Amino acid sequence: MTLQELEAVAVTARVGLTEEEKETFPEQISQIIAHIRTLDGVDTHDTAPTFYPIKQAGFLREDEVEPSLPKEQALANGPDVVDGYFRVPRIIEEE
Amino acid sequence: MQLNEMTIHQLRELLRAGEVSSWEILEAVFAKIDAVEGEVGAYLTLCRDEAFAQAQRADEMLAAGETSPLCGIPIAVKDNFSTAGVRTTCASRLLENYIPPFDAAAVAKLKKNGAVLVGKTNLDEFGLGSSTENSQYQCTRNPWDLSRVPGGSSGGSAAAVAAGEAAAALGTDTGGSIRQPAAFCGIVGLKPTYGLVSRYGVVAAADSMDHIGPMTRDVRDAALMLQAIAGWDPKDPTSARGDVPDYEASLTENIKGLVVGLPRELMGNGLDSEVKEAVFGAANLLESLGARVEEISLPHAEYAMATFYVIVSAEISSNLARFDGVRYGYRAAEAEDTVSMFIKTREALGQEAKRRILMGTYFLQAGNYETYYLKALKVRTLIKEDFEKAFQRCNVIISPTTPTAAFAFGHKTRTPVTMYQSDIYTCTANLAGIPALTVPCGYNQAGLPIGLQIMGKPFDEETVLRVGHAYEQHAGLPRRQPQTEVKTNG
Repeated sequence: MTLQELEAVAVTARVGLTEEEKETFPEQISQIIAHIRTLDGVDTHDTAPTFYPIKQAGFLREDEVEPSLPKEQALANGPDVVDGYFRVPRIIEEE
Repeated sequence: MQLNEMTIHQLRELLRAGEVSSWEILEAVFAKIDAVEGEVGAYLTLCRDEAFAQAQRADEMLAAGETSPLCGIPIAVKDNFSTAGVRTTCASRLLENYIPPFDAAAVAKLKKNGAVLVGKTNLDEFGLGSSTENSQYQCTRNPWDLSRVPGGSSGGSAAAVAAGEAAAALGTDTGGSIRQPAAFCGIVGLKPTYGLVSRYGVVAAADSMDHIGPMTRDVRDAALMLQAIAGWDPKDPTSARGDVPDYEASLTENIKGLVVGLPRELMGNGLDSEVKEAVFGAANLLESLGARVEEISLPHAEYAMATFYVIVSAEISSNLARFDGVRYGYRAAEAEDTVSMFIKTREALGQEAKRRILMGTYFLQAGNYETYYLKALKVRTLIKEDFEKAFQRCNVIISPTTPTAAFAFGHKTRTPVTMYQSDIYTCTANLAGIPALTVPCGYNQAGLPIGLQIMGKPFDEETVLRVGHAYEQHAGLPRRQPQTEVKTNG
Protein backbone atom coordinates (compact mmCIF):
# COMPACT_ATOMS: atom_id res chain seq x y z
CA MET A 1 0.00 0.00 0.00
CA THR A 2 1.43 3.35 -1.05
CA LEU A 3 1.15 6.55 0.99
CA GLN A 4 -1.28 7.88 -1.61
CA GLU A 5 -3.52 4.82 -1.29
CA LEU A 6 -3.31 5.04 2.48
CA GLU A 7 -4.37 8.67 2.54
CA ALA A 8 -7.31 7.95 0.23
CA VAL A 9 -8.50 5.10 2.48
CA ALA A 10 -8.05 7.32 5.55
CA VAL A 11 -10.39 9.93 4.06
CA THR A 12 -12.99 7.25 3.28
CA ALA A 13 -12.71 5.95 6.84
CA ARG A 14 -12.71 9.51 8.28
CA VAL A 15 -9.54 8.82 10.24
CA GLY A 16 -6.90 11.51 10.70
CA LEU A 17 -3.31 10.29 10.59
CA THR A 18 -0.24 11.63 12.37
CA GLU A 19 3.04 12.19 10.50
CA GLU A 20 4.50 9.11 12.21
CA GLU A 21 1.59 6.95 11.08
CA LYS A 22 1.94 8.20 7.52
CA GLU A 23 5.52 7.00 7.65
CA THR A 24 5.03 3.58 9.28
CA PHE A 25 1.58 2.41 8.15
CA PRO A 26 2.19 1.83 4.41
CA GLU A 27 5.00 -0.67 5.11
CA GLN A 28 3.19 -2.35 8.03
CA ILE A 29 -0.09 -2.69 6.18
CA SER A 30 1.72 -3.99 3.08
CA GLN A 31 3.28 -6.72 5.23
CA ILE A 32 -0.10 -7.69 6.66
CA ILE A 33 -1.69 -7.74 3.21
CA ALA A 34 1.16 -9.92 1.89
CA HIS A 35 0.39 -12.40 4.68
CA ILE A 36 -3.31 -12.26 3.88
CA ARG A 37 -2.67 -13.02 0.21
CA THR A 38 -1.76 -16.59 1.29
CA LEU A 39 -5.55 -17.08 1.13
CA ASP A 40 -5.29 -16.83 -2.67
CA GLY A 41 -3.97 -20.40 -2.65
CA VAL A 42 -7.12 -21.84 -1.05
CA ASP A 43 -9.66 -23.36 -3.41
CA THR A 44 -13.01 -21.76 -2.54
CA HIS A 45 -14.64 -22.40 -5.88
CA ASP A 46 -17.73 -24.16 -4.53
CA THR A 47 -17.70 -22.70 -1.05
CA ALA A 48 -20.39 -20.43 0.36
CA PRO A 49 -19.37 -17.57 2.68
CA THR A 50 -19.97 -17.75 6.45
CA PHE A 51 -21.06 -14.40 7.87
CA TYR A 52 -22.07 -15.63 11.33
CA PRO A 53 -20.65 -18.83 12.83
CA ILE A 54 -23.88 -20.05 14.47
CA LYS A 55 -27.05 -19.45 12.53
CA GLN A 56 -30.02 -18.23 14.54
CA ALA A 57 -33.53 -18.09 13.26
CA GLY A 58 -34.50 -14.44 12.94
CA PHE A 59 -37.31 -13.26 15.11
CA LEU A 60 -39.61 -10.26 15.35
CA ARG A 61 -40.38 -8.90 18.76
CA GLU A 62 -43.88 -7.90 19.75
CA ASP A 63 -44.56 -4.27 18.94
CA GLU A 64 -45.26 -3.19 22.49
CA VAL A 65 -44.94 0.28 23.91
CA GLU A 66 -42.22 0.34 26.57
CA PRO A 67 -40.54 3.13 28.44
CA SER A 68 -37.42 4.36 26.67
CA LEU A 69 -34.33 6.24 27.79
CA PRO A 70 -35.33 9.69 29.10
CA LYS A 71 -34.16 12.52 26.83
CA GLU A 72 -31.87 14.04 29.49
CA GLN A 73 -30.05 10.72 29.90
CA ALA A 74 -29.78 10.16 26.17
CA LEU A 75 -28.18 13.60 25.77
CA ALA A 76 -26.04 13.47 28.93
CA ASN A 77 -22.87 12.32 27.17
CA GLY A 78 -23.17 14.70 24.20
CA PRO A 79 -20.08 16.84 23.59
CA ASP A 80 -22.20 19.79 22.40
CA VAL A 81 -25.88 19.83 23.35
CA VAL A 82 -28.20 22.79 22.75
CA ASP A 83 -31.97 22.93 23.36
CA GLY A 84 -32.30 19.16 23.45
CA TYR A 85 -30.25 18.61 20.27
CA PHE A 86 -26.71 17.47 19.47
CA ARG A 87 -25.01 20.40 17.74
CA VAL A 88 -22.43 19.82 14.99
CA PRO A 89 -20.51 22.21 12.75
CA ARG A 90 -22.42 23.66 9.78
CA ILE A 91 -23.13 21.11 7.05
CA ILE A 92 -24.97 23.24 4.46
CA GLU A 93 -23.47 26.55 3.32
CA GLU A 94 -25.67 29.67 3.46
CA GLU A 95 -26.79 31.07 0.07
CA MET B 1 -5.41 -18.81 52.46
CA GLN B 2 -6.61 -15.20 52.36
CA LEU B 3 -10.23 -14.45 51.44
CA ASN B 4 -9.13 -12.52 48.35
CA GLU B 5 -7.31 -15.60 46.99
CA MET B 6 -10.22 -18.01 47.31
CA THR B 7 -12.41 -19.38 44.56
CA ILE B 8 -16.07 -18.43 44.20
CA HIS B 9 -17.17 -21.86 45.41
CA GLN B 10 -14.93 -21.71 48.49
CA LEU B 11 -16.36 -18.30 49.33
CA ARG B 12 -19.87 -19.59 48.65
CA GLU B 13 -19.45 -22.22 51.37
CA LEU B 14 -18.10 -19.69 53.87
CA LEU B 15 -20.88 -17.21 53.09
CA ARG B 16 -23.58 -19.86 53.37
CA ALA B 17 -22.20 -21.08 56.69
CA GLY B 18 -22.20 -17.49 57.88
CA GLU B 19 -18.47 -17.69 58.61
CA VAL B 20 -17.65 -14.58 56.64
CA SER B 21 -19.60 -11.68 55.19
CA SER B 22 -19.46 -10.24 51.72
CA TRP B 23 -18.23 -7.05 53.37
CA GLU B 24 -15.21 -8.87 54.86
CA ILE B 25 -14.38 -10.49 51.53
CA LEU B 26 -14.50 -7.10 49.84
CA GLU B 27 -12.26 -5.61 52.54
CA ALA B 28 -9.67 -8.31 51.80
CA VAL B 29 -9.93 -7.57 48.07
CA PHE B 30 -9.46 -3.83 48.52
CA ALA B 31 -6.58 -4.38 50.97
CA LYS B 32 -4.87 -6.36 48.20
CA ILE B 33 -5.70 -3.71 45.62
CA ASP B 34 -4.22 -1.00 47.84
CA ALA B 35 -1.08 -3.10 48.26
CA VAL B 36 -0.36 -4.17 44.67
CA GLU B 37 -2.40 -2.12 42.24
CA GLY B 38 0.40 0.45 41.88
CA GLU B 39 2.53 -2.31 40.38
CA VAL B 40 -0.07 -4.42 38.59
CA GLY B 41 -2.29 -1.69 37.12
CA ALA B 42 -5.23 -3.99 36.43
CA TYR B 43 -8.01 -1.43 36.93
CA LEU B 44 -8.91 1.71 35.00
CA THR B 45 -11.72 2.57 37.43
CA LEU B 46 -12.33 1.32 40.96
CA CYS B 47 -15.88 1.38 42.34
CA ARG B 48 -14.94 1.35 46.01
CA ASP B 49 -17.99 3.11 47.50
CA GLU B 50 -20.54 1.47 45.23
CA ALA B 51 -18.90 -1.92 45.84
CA PHE B 52 -19.19 -1.68 49.63
CA ALA B 53 -22.82 -0.62 49.25
CA GLN B 54 -23.39 -3.68 47.02
CA ALA B 55 -21.59 -5.93 49.53
CA GLN B 56 -23.87 -4.69 52.29
CA ARG B 57 -26.89 -5.39 50.11
CA ALA B 58 -25.51 -8.86 49.29
CA ASP B 59 -25.14 -9.62 52.98
CA GLU B 60 -28.79 -8.67 53.44
CA MET B 61 -29.77 -10.88 50.49
CA LEU B 62 -27.80 -13.81 51.96
CA ALA B 63 -29.43 -13.30 55.35
CA ALA B 64 -32.79 -13.41 53.59
CA GLY B 65 -31.91 -16.78 52.04
CA GLU B 66 -30.47 -15.86 48.62
CA THR B 67 -28.86 -18.98 47.13
CA SER B 68 -27.03 -17.64 44.07
CA PRO B 69 -23.38 -18.75 44.25
CA LEU B 70 -22.35 -15.28 43.05
CA CYS B 71 -24.12 -13.40 45.82
CA GLY B 72 -21.54 -11.32 47.68
CA ILE B 73 -18.67 -12.29 45.36
CA PRO B 74 -16.35 -9.44 44.23
CA ILE B 75 -16.05 -9.44 40.46
CA ALA B 76 -14.02 -7.30 38.06
CA VAL B 77 -15.46 -6.30 34.69
CA LYS B 78 -13.52 -5.42 31.55
CA ASP B 79 -13.96 -1.79 30.62
CA ASN B 80 -15.80 -2.49 27.38
CA PHE B 81 -18.95 -3.60 29.23
CA SER B 82 -21.46 -0.79 29.72
CA THR B 83 -21.97 -0.13 33.42
CA ALA B 84 -24.76 2.25 34.45
CA GLY B 85 -23.30 5.32 36.11
CA VAL B 86 -19.71 4.01 35.96
CA ARG B 87 -17.47 5.36 33.21
CA THR B 88 -16.74 2.95 30.39
CA THR B 89 -13.69 3.90 28.38
CA CYS B 90 -12.71 0.85 26.29
CA ALA B 91 -9.21 2.14 27.18
CA SER B 92 -9.73 4.77 24.47
CA ARG B 93 -9.30 8.53 24.75
CA LEU B 94 -12.46 8.81 22.65
CA LEU B 95 -14.51 7.55 25.61
CA GLU B 96 -12.56 9.13 28.45
CA ASN B 97 -15.63 10.67 30.08
CA TYR B 98 -18.34 8.38 28.73
CA ILE B 99 -20.83 7.24 31.41
CA PRO B 100 -23.34 4.69 30.08
CA PRO B 101 -26.97 5.14 31.16
CA PHE B 102 -27.50 1.36 31.25
CA ASP B 103 -25.86 -1.96 32.18
CA ALA B 104 -24.71 -4.56 29.67
CA ALA B 105 -26.91 -7.69 29.88
CA ALA B 106 -24.11 -9.76 31.48
CA VAL B 107 -23.45 -7.06 34.09
CA ALA B 108 -27.15 -6.75 34.88
CA LYS B 109 -27.32 -10.52 35.40
CA LEU B 110 -24.32 -10.52 37.73
CA LYS B 111 -25.87 -7.70 39.76
CA LYS B 112 -29.20 -9.50 39.90
CA ASN B 113 -27.33 -12.48 41.37
CA GLY B 114 -25.92 -10.22 44.08
CA ALA B 115 -22.37 -10.05 42.72
CA VAL B 116 -20.26 -7.05 43.74
CA LEU B 117 -18.66 -4.94 40.99
CA VAL B 118 -15.12 -4.09 42.16
CA GLY B 119 -14.12 -2.01 39.18
CA LYS B 120 -13.46 -1.80 35.45
CA THR B 121 -10.33 -3.43 34.10
CA ASN B 122 -7.74 -2.36 31.56
CA LEU B 123 -7.68 -3.64 27.98
CA ASP B 124 -6.18 -2.98 24.60
CA GLU B 125 -8.11 -0.04 23.14
CA PHE B 126 -11.53 -1.40 22.02
CA GLY B 127 -10.17 -4.91 22.61
CA LEU B 128 -7.68 -4.64 19.75
CA GLY B 129 -4.44 -6.27 20.82
CA SER B 130 -2.82 -9.20 22.58
CA SER B 131 -0.81 -7.58 25.38
CA THR B 132 -2.91 -4.70 26.80
CA GLU B 133 -0.09 -2.44 25.58
CA ASN B 134 -2.61 -0.73 23.29
CA SER B 135 -4.44 0.80 26.25
CA GLN B 136 -4.36 4.58 25.93
CA TYR B 137 -4.27 4.97 29.72
CA GLN B 138 -1.88 2.65 31.48
CA CYS B 139 0.27 -0.41 31.43
CA THR B 140 -0.94 -3.60 33.13
CA ARG B 141 1.81 -5.93 34.35
CA ASN B 142 1.72 -9.69 34.64
CA PRO B 143 1.57 -10.53 38.37
CA TRP B 144 3.85 -13.54 37.75
CA ASP B 145 6.62 -11.35 36.34
CA LEU B 146 6.16 -7.60 36.30
CA SER B 147 8.51 -7.22 33.33
CA ARG B 148 6.07 -9.19 31.19
CA VAL B 149 2.70 -8.46 29.62
CA PRO B 150 -0.48 -9.96 31.07
CA GLY B 151 -1.69 -10.79 27.56
CA GLY B 152 -4.71 -9.16 26.01
CA SER B 153 -7.02 -7.79 25.28
CA SER B 154 -8.61 -8.78 28.64
CA GLY B 155 -5.23 -8.27 30.35
CA GLY B 156 -6.61 -6.22 33.25
CA SER B 157 -9.24 -8.85 34.08
CA ALA B 158 -6.64 -11.66 33.99
CA ALA B 159 -4.14 -9.73 36.11
CA ALA B 160 -6.81 -8.74 38.66
CA VAL B 161 -7.83 -12.37 39.24
CA ALA B 162 -4.23 -13.68 39.27
CA ALA B 163 -3.09 -10.99 41.74
CA GLY B 164 -6.02 -11.54 44.12
CA GLU B 165 -7.64 -8.19 43.30
CA ALA B 166 -11.00 -9.86 42.49
CA ALA B 167 -12.46 -13.35 42.89
CA ALA B 168 -13.31 -13.59 39.21
CA ALA B 169 -13.77 -11.36 36.16
CA LEU B 170 -15.70 -10.88 32.97
CA GLY B 171 -13.76 -10.64 29.74
CA THR B 172 -14.47 -10.53 26.03
CA ASP B 173 -12.84 -12.67 23.38
CA THR B 174 -12.73 -11.85 19.66
CA GLY B 175 -9.67 -13.90 18.72
CA GLY B 176 -8.36 -15.15 22.05
CA SER B 177 -8.77 -12.12 24.32
CA ILE B 178 -10.09 -14.16 27.27
CA ARG B 179 -8.01 -17.30 26.78
CA GLN B 180 -4.60 -15.83 25.92
CA PRO B 181 -4.39 -13.49 28.97
CA ALA B 182 -5.87 -16.23 31.19
CA ALA B 183 -3.09 -18.57 30.03
CA PHE B 184 -0.43 -15.89 30.52
CA CYS B 185 -1.67 -15.16 34.06
CA GLY B 186 -2.23 -18.78 35.16
CA ILE B 187 -6.02 -18.72 35.47
CA VAL B 188 -9.02 -20.33 33.78
CA GLY B 189 -10.82 -18.57 30.91
CA LEU B 190 -13.85 -19.66 28.91
CA LYS B 191 -15.06 -18.41 25.56
CA PRO B 192 -18.55 -19.92 25.24
CA THR B 193 -20.39 -20.81 22.03
CA TYR B 194 -21.32 -17.81 19.87
CA GLY B 195 -24.80 -16.69 20.92
CA LEU B 196 -24.87 -18.37 24.35
CA VAL B 197 -24.17 -15.12 26.23
CA SER B 198 -25.90 -11.90 25.20
CA ARG B 199 -23.57 -9.22 23.85
CA TYR B 200 -26.07 -6.47 24.59
CA GLY B 201 -24.26 -3.47 26.04
CA VAL B 202 -20.75 -4.66 25.24
CA VAL B 203 -18.97 -2.27 22.90
CA ALA B 204 -18.68 -4.20 19.64
CA ALA B 205 -15.33 -4.81 17.99
CA ALA B 206 -16.04 -7.56 15.44
CA ASP B 207 -19.58 -8.65 16.13
CA SER B 208 -19.49 -12.00 14.30
CA MET B 209 -16.57 -13.02 16.50
CA ASP B 210 -17.03 -11.13 19.79
CA HIS B 211 -17.83 -13.37 22.78
CA ILE B 212 -18.33 -12.74 26.48
CA GLY B 213 -17.04 -15.14 29.10
CA PRO B 214 -15.72 -15.77 32.61
CA MET B 215 -12.11 -15.54 33.83
CA THR B 216 -11.73 -17.47 37.08
CA ARG B 217 -9.42 -19.34 39.47
CA ASP B 218 -10.75 -22.77 38.52
CA VAL B 219 -13.14 -24.58 36.20
CA ARG B 220 -15.96 -24.87 38.75
CA ASP B 221 -15.95 -21.08 39.09
CA ALA B 222 -16.14 -20.74 35.30
CA ALA B 223 -19.21 -23.01 35.33
CA LEU B 224 -20.85 -20.91 38.06
CA MET B 225 -20.17 -17.65 36.24
CA LEU B 226 -21.38 -19.03 32.91
CA GLN B 227 -24.58 -20.22 34.57
CA ALA B 228 -25.33 -16.68 35.67
CA ILE B 229 -24.70 -14.95 32.34
CA ALA B 230 -25.89 -17.51 29.73
CA GLY B 231 -29.29 -17.47 28.07
CA TRP B 232 -31.40 -15.95 25.35
CA ASP B 233 -31.79 -12.18 25.25
CA PRO B 234 -34.23 -10.50 22.84
CA LYS B 235 -31.96 -7.43 22.86
CA ASP B 236 -29.20 -9.35 21.07
CA PRO B 237 -30.39 -10.60 17.66
CA THR B 238 -27.52 -13.13 17.53
CA SER B 239 -28.43 -14.55 20.93
CA ALA B 240 -29.36 -18.25 20.91
CA ARG B 241 -32.67 -19.69 22.05
CA GLY B 242 -32.72 -22.93 23.99
CA ASP B 243 -32.42 -24.15 27.55
CA VAL B 244 -29.32 -23.46 29.58
CA PRO B 245 -28.07 -26.68 31.21
CA ASP B 246 -26.79 -26.98 34.79
CA TYR B 247 -23.07 -26.49 34.18
CA GLU B 248 -21.89 -27.29 37.68
CA ALA B 249 -23.71 -30.64 37.49
CA SER B 250 -21.58 -31.55 34.45
CA LEU B 251 -18.36 -31.53 36.51
CA THR B 252 -18.39 -35.26 37.21
CA GLU B 253 -14.67 -35.97 36.63
CA ASN B 254 -15.71 -38.99 34.57
CA ILE B 255 -14.15 -38.70 31.11
CA LYS B 256 -13.84 -42.43 30.40
CA GLY B 257 -14.33 -43.24 26.73
CA LEU B 258 -14.26 -39.64 25.54
CA VAL B 259 -12.28 -39.07 22.34
CA VAL B 260 -9.84 -36.18 22.57
CA GLY B 261 -8.48 -34.83 19.27
CA LEU B 262 -4.97 -33.41 19.09
CA PRO B 263 -4.62 -31.48 15.80
CA ARG B 264 -1.16 -31.79 14.32
CA GLU B 265 -1.49 -28.34 12.70
CA LEU B 266 -1.71 -26.73 16.15
CA MET B 267 1.37 -28.51 17.52
CA GLY B 268 3.88 -27.46 14.87
CA ASN B 269 5.98 -24.49 13.78
CA GLY B 270 6.60 -21.66 16.20
CA LEU B 271 5.46 -23.63 19.24
CA ASP B 272 7.73 -23.22 22.26
CA SER B 273 9.18 -26.59 23.33
CA GLU B 274 8.19 -26.21 26.99
CA VAL B 275 4.60 -25.39 26.01
CA LYS B 276 4.55 -28.37 23.67
CA GLU B 277 5.83 -30.66 26.40
CA ALA B 278 3.18 -29.40 28.84
CA VAL B 279 0.38 -30.05 26.33
CA PHE B 280 1.63 -33.56 25.57
CA GLY B 281 1.81 -34.12 29.33
CA ALA B 282 -1.83 -33.03 29.63
CA ALA B 283 -2.81 -35.38 26.79
CA ASN B 284 -1.13 -38.26 28.62
CA LEU B 285 -2.97 -37.41 31.82
CA LEU B 286 -6.34 -37.33 30.02
CA GLU B 287 -5.49 -40.75 28.58
CA SER B 288 -4.67 -42.07 32.04
CA LEU B 289 -8.14 -40.92 33.12
CA GLY B 290 -9.75 -43.10 30.47
CA ALA B 291 -10.01 -40.76 27.48
CA ARG B 292 -8.67 -41.78 24.09
CA VAL B 293 -6.33 -39.22 22.52
CA GLU B 294 -6.16 -39.27 18.73
CA GLU B 295 -4.06 -37.19 16.37
CA ILE B 296 -6.37 -35.34 14.00
CA SER B 297 -6.04 -32.83 11.18
CA LEU B 298 -7.58 -29.39 10.73
CA PRO B 299 -6.26 -28.84 7.20
CA HIS B 300 -7.26 -25.17 6.90
CA ALA B 301 -5.96 -24.09 10.32
CA GLU B 302 -2.88 -22.56 8.69
CA TYR B 303 -5.15 -20.00 7.01
CA ALA B 304 -6.96 -19.03 10.21
CA MET B 305 -4.80 -16.00 11.04
CA ALA B 306 -5.18 -14.42 7.62
CA THR B 307 -8.91 -15.19 7.50
CA PHE B 308 -9.39 -13.85 10.98
CA TYR B 309 -7.64 -10.52 10.33
CA VAL B 310 -9.59 -9.77 7.17
CA ILE B 311 -12.96 -10.37 8.81
CA VAL B 312 -12.04 -8.67 12.08
CA SER B 313 -10.71 -5.59 10.32
CA ALA B 314 -13.77 -5.34 8.08
CA GLU B 315 -16.16 -5.58 11.01
CA ILE B 316 -14.12 -3.20 13.15
CA SER B 317 -14.04 -0.56 10.43
CA SER B 318 -17.82 -0.67 10.42
CA ASN B 319 -18.41 -0.92 14.20
CA LEU B 320 -15.94 1.80 15.15
CA ALA B 321 -17.59 4.22 12.72
CA ARG B 322 -19.98 5.09 15.56
CA PHE B 323 -17.18 6.93 17.37
CA ASP B 324 -17.55 10.19 15.50
CA GLY B 325 -17.78 12.74 18.32
CA VAL B 326 -21.45 13.59 17.70
CA ARG B 327 -23.55 11.95 20.41
CA TYR B 328 -21.02 10.96 23.07
CA GLY B 329 -17.32 10.83 23.77
CA TYR B 330 -14.47 13.06 22.73
CA ARG B 331 -14.87 15.63 19.97
CA ALA B 332 -11.93 17.52 18.46
CA ALA B 333 -12.31 21.26 18.89
CA GLU B 334 -12.39 23.84 16.13
CA ALA B 335 -13.46 21.86 13.11
CA GLU B 336 -14.74 24.06 10.29
CA ASP B 337 -17.14 21.44 8.92
CA THR B 338 -18.61 18.10 9.94
CA VAL B 339 -16.33 15.88 7.86
CA SER B 340 -13.19 17.49 9.23
CA MET B 341 -14.71 17.18 12.71
CA PHE B 342 -14.98 13.40 12.18
CA ILE B 343 -11.44 13.15 10.82
CA LYS B 344 -9.86 15.24 13.58
CA THR B 345 -11.84 13.51 16.32
CA ARG B 346 -10.83 10.06 15.10
CA GLU B 347 -7.18 11.09 14.84
CA ALA B 348 -7.21 10.46 18.63
CA LEU B 349 -7.64 6.70 18.09
CA GLY B 350 -4.61 4.54 18.86
CA GLN B 351 -2.43 3.05 16.12
CA GLU B 352 -3.80 -0.49 16.24
CA ALA B 353 -7.40 0.74 16.01
CA LYS B 354 -6.48 2.97 13.08
CA ARG B 355 -4.54 0.23 11.28
CA ARG B 356 -7.49 -2.13 11.53
CA ILE B 357 -10.05 0.50 10.49
CA LEU B 358 -7.89 1.38 7.48
CA MET B 359 -7.34 -2.23 6.50
CA GLY B 360 -11.01 -3.04 6.97
CA THR B 361 -12.06 -0.07 4.85
CA TYR B 362 -9.58 -1.19 2.20
CA PHE B 363 -10.83 -4.81 2.21
CA LEU B 364 -14.43 -3.68 1.83
CA GLN B 365 -13.81 -1.25 -1.03
CA ALA B 366 -15.29 -1.98 -4.43
CA GLY B 367 -12.66 -3.93 -6.32
CA ASN B 368 -11.20 -5.44 -3.12
CA TYR B 369 -14.34 -6.86 -1.55
CA GLU B 370 -14.23 -10.16 -3.40
CA THR B 371 -10.46 -10.59 -3.25
CA TYR B 372 -10.24 -10.09 0.49
CA TYR B 373 -13.51 -10.01 2.40
CA LEU B 374 -15.61 -12.51 0.49
CA LYS B 375 -12.57 -14.78 0.10
CA ALA B 376 -12.01 -14.76 3.87
CA LEU B 377 -15.67 -15.55 4.55
CA LYS B 378 -15.39 -18.57 2.27
CA VAL B 379 -12.22 -19.82 3.94
CA ARG B 380 -14.06 -19.35 7.23
CA THR B 381 -16.59 -21.90 5.97
CA LEU B 382 -13.78 -24.37 5.27
CA ILE B 383 -12.28 -23.83 8.75
CA LYS B 384 -15.70 -24.38 10.30
CA GLU B 385 -16.19 -27.55 8.22
CA ASP B 386 -12.82 -28.87 9.41
CA PHE B 387 -14.13 -28.67 12.97
CA GLU B 388 -17.46 -30.26 12.04
CA LYS B 389 -15.61 -33.21 10.51
CA ALA B 390 -13.28 -33.51 13.50
CA PHE B 391 -16.19 -33.46 15.93
CA GLN B 392 -17.77 -36.42 14.15
CA ARG B 393 -14.91 -38.40 15.70
CA CYS B 394 -13.94 -36.37 18.75
CA ASN B 395 -15.79 -35.12 21.81
CA VAL B 396 -13.25 -32.38 22.42
CA ILE B 397 -10.11 -31.03 20.74
CA ILE B 398 -7.09 -29.92 22.76
CA SER B 399 -4.17 -27.67 21.85
CA PRO B 400 -1.84 -25.15 23.44
CA THR B 401 -3.66 -21.90 24.25
CA THR B 402 -0.66 -19.81 23.19
CA PRO B 403 2.57 -20.59 21.32
CA THR B 404 4.71 -19.24 24.19
CA ALA B 405 4.33 -18.17 27.81
CA ALA B 406 3.95 -14.43 28.58
CA PHE B 407 6.38 -12.24 26.63
CA ALA B 408 8.19 -9.06 27.67
CA PHE B 409 6.89 -5.51 27.12
CA GLY B 410 7.67 -4.00 23.74
CA HIS B 411 8.69 -7.40 22.45
CA LYS B 412 6.07 -7.72 19.76
CA THR B 413 4.51 -4.30 19.34
CA ARG B 414 6.86 -3.19 16.57
CA THR B 415 5.61 -5.65 13.99
CA PRO B 416 1.85 -6.23 13.96
CA VAL B 417 2.15 -9.60 12.20
CA THR B 418 4.33 -11.02 15.02
CA MET B 419 1.84 -9.78 17.60
CA TYR B 420 -1.02 -11.36 15.67
CA GLN B 421 0.76 -14.73 15.90
CA SER B 422 0.00 -14.92 19.63
CA ASP B 423 -3.66 -15.57 18.70
CA ILE B 424 -2.79 -18.37 16.30
CA TYR B 425 -4.29 -21.24 18.36
CA THR B 426 -7.24 -19.32 19.75
CA CYS B 427 -8.72 -17.47 16.77
CA THR B 428 -9.97 -20.63 15.02
CA ALA B 429 -12.61 -21.10 17.75
CA ASN B 430 -13.87 -17.55 17.13
CA LEU B 431 -14.13 -18.18 13.39
CA ALA B 432 -16.10 -21.38 14.05
CA GLY B 433 -18.06 -20.03 17.03
CA ILE B 434 -17.29 -23.12 19.16
CA PRO B 435 -16.70 -23.13 22.95
CA ALA B 436 -13.07 -23.04 24.09
CA LEU B 437 -11.62 -23.17 27.57
CA THR B 438 -8.11 -22.58 28.85
CA VAL B 439 -6.84 -24.22 32.03
CA PRO B 440 -3.35 -23.92 33.53
CA CYS B 441 -1.27 -27.00 32.61
CA GLY B 442 2.15 -26.26 34.05
CA TYR B 443 4.92 -23.73 34.39
CA ASN B 444 8.00 -23.17 32.26
CA GLN B 445 11.58 -22.99 33.55
CA ALA B 446 11.14 -19.28 34.23
CA GLY B 447 8.14 -20.07 36.44
CA LEU B 448 5.55 -18.65 34.04
CA PRO B 449 2.19 -20.39 33.64
CA ILE B 450 1.24 -22.36 30.52
CA GLY B 451 -2.34 -22.89 29.28
CA LEU B 452 -4.09 -25.91 27.80
CA GLN B 453 -6.94 -25.16 25.41
CA ILE B 454 -10.00 -27.46 25.27
CA MET B 455 -12.46 -26.87 22.42
CA GLY B 456 -15.87 -28.48 22.03
CA LYS B 457 -18.94 -28.79 19.83
CA PRO B 458 -21.30 -25.81 19.60
CA PHE B 459 -23.35 -25.51 22.81
CA ASP B 460 -21.49 -28.42 24.42
CA GLU B 461 -19.90 -26.35 27.19
CA GLU B 462 -20.75 -29.23 29.54
CA THR B 463 -18.22 -31.62 28.00
CA VAL B 464 -15.58 -28.90 27.68
CA LEU B 465 -15.99 -27.98 31.35
CA ARG B 466 -16.07 -31.63 32.40
CA VAL B 467 -12.77 -32.40 30.66
CA GLY B 468 -11.20 -29.19 32.00
CA HIS B 469 -12.37 -29.98 35.51
CA ALA B 470 -11.17 -33.60 35.35
CA TYR B 471 -7.77 -32.44 34.11
CA GLU B 472 -7.52 -29.76 36.79
CA GLN B 473 -8.49 -32.15 39.61
CA HIS B 474 -5.88 -34.73 38.63
CA ALA B 475 -3.05 -32.58 37.27
CA GLY B 476 -1.83 -31.86 40.80
CA LEU B 477 -0.20 -28.59 39.76
CA PRO B 478 1.59 -26.99 42.68
CA ARG B 479 -0.31 -23.90 43.73
CA ARG B 480 2.27 -21.20 43.16
CA GLN B 481 1.86 -17.56 43.99
CA PRO B 482 2.52 -14.73 41.58
CA GLN B 483 5.48 -12.47 42.33
CA THR B 484 3.32 -9.68 43.75
CA GLU B 485 2.22 -12.05 46.51
CA VAL B 486 5.80 -12.67 47.57
CA LYS B 487 6.57 -8.96 47.66
CA THR B 488 3.64 -7.94 49.81
CA ASN B 489 3.79 -10.88 52.16
CA GLY B 490 7.43 -10.54 52.97
